[in-house]
Amino acid sequence: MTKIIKPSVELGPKHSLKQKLTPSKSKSYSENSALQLTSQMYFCLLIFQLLNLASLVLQLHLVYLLFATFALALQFIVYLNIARKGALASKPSQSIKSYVTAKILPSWLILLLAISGSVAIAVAGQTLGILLSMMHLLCFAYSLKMFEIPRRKDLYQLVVLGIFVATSSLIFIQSIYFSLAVIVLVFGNFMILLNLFAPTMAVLAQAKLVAKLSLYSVPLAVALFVGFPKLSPFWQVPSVESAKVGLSDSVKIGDIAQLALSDELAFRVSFQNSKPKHAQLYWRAMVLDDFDGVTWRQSRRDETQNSQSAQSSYGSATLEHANSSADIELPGRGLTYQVIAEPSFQSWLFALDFATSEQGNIGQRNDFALFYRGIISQTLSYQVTSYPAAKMSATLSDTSRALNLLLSTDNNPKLLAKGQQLRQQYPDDRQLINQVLTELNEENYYYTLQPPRLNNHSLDQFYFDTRAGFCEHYASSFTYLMRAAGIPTRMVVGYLGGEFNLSGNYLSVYQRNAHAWSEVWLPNDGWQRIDPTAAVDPERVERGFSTSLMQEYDDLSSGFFSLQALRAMWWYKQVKMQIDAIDYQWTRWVIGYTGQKQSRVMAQLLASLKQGKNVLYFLLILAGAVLLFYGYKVVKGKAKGKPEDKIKALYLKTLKLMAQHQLVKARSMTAQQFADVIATARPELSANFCAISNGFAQLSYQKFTDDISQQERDKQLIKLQLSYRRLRWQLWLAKLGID
Amino acid sequence: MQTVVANILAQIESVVIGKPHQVQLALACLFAKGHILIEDLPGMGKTTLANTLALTLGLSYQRIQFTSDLMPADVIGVAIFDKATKLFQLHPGAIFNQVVLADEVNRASPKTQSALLEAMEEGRVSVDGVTHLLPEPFFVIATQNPMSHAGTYPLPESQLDRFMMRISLGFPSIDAERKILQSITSHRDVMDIKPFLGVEQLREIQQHIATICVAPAIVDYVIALCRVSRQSESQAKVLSPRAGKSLLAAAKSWAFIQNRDYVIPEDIQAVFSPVCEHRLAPQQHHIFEQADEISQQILSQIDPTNPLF
Repeated sequence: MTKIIKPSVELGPKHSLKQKLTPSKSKSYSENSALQLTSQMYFCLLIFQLLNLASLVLQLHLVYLLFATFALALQFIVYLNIARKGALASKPSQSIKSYVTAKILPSWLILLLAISGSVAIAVAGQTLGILLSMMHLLCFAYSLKMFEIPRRKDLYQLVVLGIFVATSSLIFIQSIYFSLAVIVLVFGNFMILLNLFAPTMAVLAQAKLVAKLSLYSVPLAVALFVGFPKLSPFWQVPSVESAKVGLSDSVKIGDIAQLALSDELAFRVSFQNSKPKHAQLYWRAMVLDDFDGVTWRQSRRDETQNSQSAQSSYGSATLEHANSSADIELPGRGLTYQVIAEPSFQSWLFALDFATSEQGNIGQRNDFALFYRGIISQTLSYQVTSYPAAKMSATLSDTSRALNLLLSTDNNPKLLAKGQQLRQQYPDDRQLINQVLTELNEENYYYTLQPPRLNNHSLDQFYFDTRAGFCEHYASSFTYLMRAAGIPTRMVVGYLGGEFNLSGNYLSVYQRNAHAWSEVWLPNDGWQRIDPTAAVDPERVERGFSTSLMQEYDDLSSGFFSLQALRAMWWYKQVKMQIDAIDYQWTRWVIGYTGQKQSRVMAQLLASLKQGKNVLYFLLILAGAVLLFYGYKVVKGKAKGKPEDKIKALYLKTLKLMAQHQLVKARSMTAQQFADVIATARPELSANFCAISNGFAQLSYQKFTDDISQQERDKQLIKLQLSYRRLRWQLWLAKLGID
Repeated sequence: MQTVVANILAQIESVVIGKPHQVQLALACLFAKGHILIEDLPGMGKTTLANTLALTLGLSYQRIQFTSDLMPADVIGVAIFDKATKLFQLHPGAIFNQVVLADEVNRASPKTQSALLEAMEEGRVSVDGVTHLLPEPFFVIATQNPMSHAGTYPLPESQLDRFMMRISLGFPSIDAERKILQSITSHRDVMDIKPFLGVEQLREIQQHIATICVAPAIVDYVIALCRVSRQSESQAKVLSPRAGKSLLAAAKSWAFIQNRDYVIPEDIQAVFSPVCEHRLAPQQHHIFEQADEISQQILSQIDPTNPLF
């Protein structure tokens, strides 16, 4: 039984295969326009579609992702079947086989899918936002196009779409690694495109050619990058990452301790001249002066107004404004530095006290914190000048005094009592503060990443019982205590210190550097920074993390993938630092090259061009470069030697070119025979090709008489090179179907 | 000079109808000072070609019909005691002529064959210890029947190598055959052949051929061809440097007949098969098939525009 059945089973697929293959073959011969591809090509296309879409995967909606995965999987399975059947059917001698592109879905279904998908995207557009819905439309078209590539033209469209999809992912992520990955991806897409044009070329040669072409395009790309006007985008980049780790505008006890485990970069700073000491690197982000017993917030006074108009009503951050303001005294020289902030999806900025910035998009609040007019959704670079010795608000208005003395009296009675008691003991504000700090230092207070849990965020419990906490514990208790004692005090959050990168000469501030401290207002001196944490753990302020805290930190972060051992290795640190430095330069010069910077660069260039000297230098350099290039050519030409070798090289190059266009010389054909073949097969090419071919034959085989001068030969060679270029042009035109 | 060549060709072609290529090859071979072997079935016009060629050249000419009982002495000659001078006197054989037609050379015994072929190589003969120089110029035109025919002694490879070319005529085309049948062929026609060339003129032509330009690219091509014949494993026979030399000489001569003063790859390709096939495949069994298969294979492996890569 089985013996009888088996052959019939085996015959089944073969029969169907024959039926499938024969019509497709005849079709391919009858229709010239039908596209034939090798199975390799199909899989390349599929893989690159997957990769191109993967670059956007974080931005895409789950429903679309499911659709794209399904589409890719369907095509993969169909082509795998075709390839397997093809491999079975083909003789071993034919290793490479081409197929007409399979029609997986009927065209009406594709149309239906396209319409319904577009409608779905339009409906979802309200939640997605304009940019993301456009992105979805692009990707959707890309997925669908893959089903429909009956002709060459469609394939070009598909590949170009893929390049567009891959590069558009740069809107969302611009880090150097991602950019490099996208460049590689685009390079791969170019390879596919080239493979369509010159399928007979070896892969290595293709890669070389793509690399060469890409190199050619680099100067143009650089020129465009430097010179092309930077338009602000028509879209608002959605705050997809708004759930990012980082400071928020309200701080509860325990919030900052959580940040202390994050290695994420917050911002980077490069100082123009000298770098201040670690203990002075208090990066102010925002001032929190409203406390409801649990959470510190920015004062409600701001919230009553529309936040946008409130921001714009604040003062500008320029030095001029600060000088004119009565609140501020600016002694001493300023410290100028550039900050590159990572996207935080908030609007505050980081700077040392007291900060001024000349940039128009940066403003200053009443509490002297800088803010950005907008949301920092992309890496933002800004220039700041700080005056560390500045005196802020020598006089305090009644409203802000009231605000900064406000207490929610009900939940921390012990602290309140202590504050009042201290007030009675020490009538002088400074003595009182010193007394509190000394207490913190001398009594059993611990600085720890893992403070014991507090009931109902009770500051009393922390201050009198547990006595172990992170910076925000100390800062908020201290602020509370001071307010209880009648000293206007507010809480400030920001970052402390940072890691200095020697190889890049800049400072990196990470989320784990987040810190909270207090500012007290003293008559005549204005707002003064007091860091109670410094009293508990001075090392934290002097050098960053103290050794005990570091130990704790390592214990907390040691998991299965602990990098603890790795961290200890100096080379790991070195490498990390180097990579960081590269990333910094990329962020600073490429991503940070904003419209403002561009206009500055252009203005400088124009100004220097106006001074004729630079023009002269420029011309001299240009002339030098041209001369060098020419000299190189001459030397190279001399090194190559005899004219017949040159012309042979040219002839062989021509043959290669012809081979790329399916005009292959049979191996044993002589130059004359091939020229005859071309003359009959492609008479329009014959004029240029025969010139080269005859020149080659003449110079290679005939007797040389020395009366033809070298010059004349060179002239002939140049003429032939001209014919080569014409021939190449003709061939490309013919390939593109233009006559 | 070219008019002489044209005349010679015209005359030969008027006798050997419809085979201009073979006629030109044969002439090129003789201009290049090479011996030629014409191999074909009986009745294909081998002897006619050889005869006409010899007569046209206008040199002293003798035909030897090789048979199985032909002795070396019949070819070379024999020393006979002369009573008058009391000395052994050489009675020269047929070989002491400028053009020798060795008809059906493979019917003779190997001994006789080798006597002839030795003379071809050395240009002299020794009889009873005395060396006698052969006349200058000295051409041998040999014909032979295919190996499979009865009563043949195949020429060994070493002796085949002494022929510059081996050609075969093949069947005539319909038109040519019609002409052959219609013409009143007789030996008188052959007798009518006028010699166009004397010794002096032949020498002149040979000197001119020596000046024909062979570019380095052509030498490279010949080298590449020879090398590729040595690389293939399936082939027992290879092309020696002598074969390469013959190839170049024949190509030069061919270029001269084409009225060109430099050699092009087409010349090499034209003479490659007749010059090399008998060195690569000495025993030709299938005369009716495309005979020069191996040489075509070798030619197809080399790109004449870029031979050494």
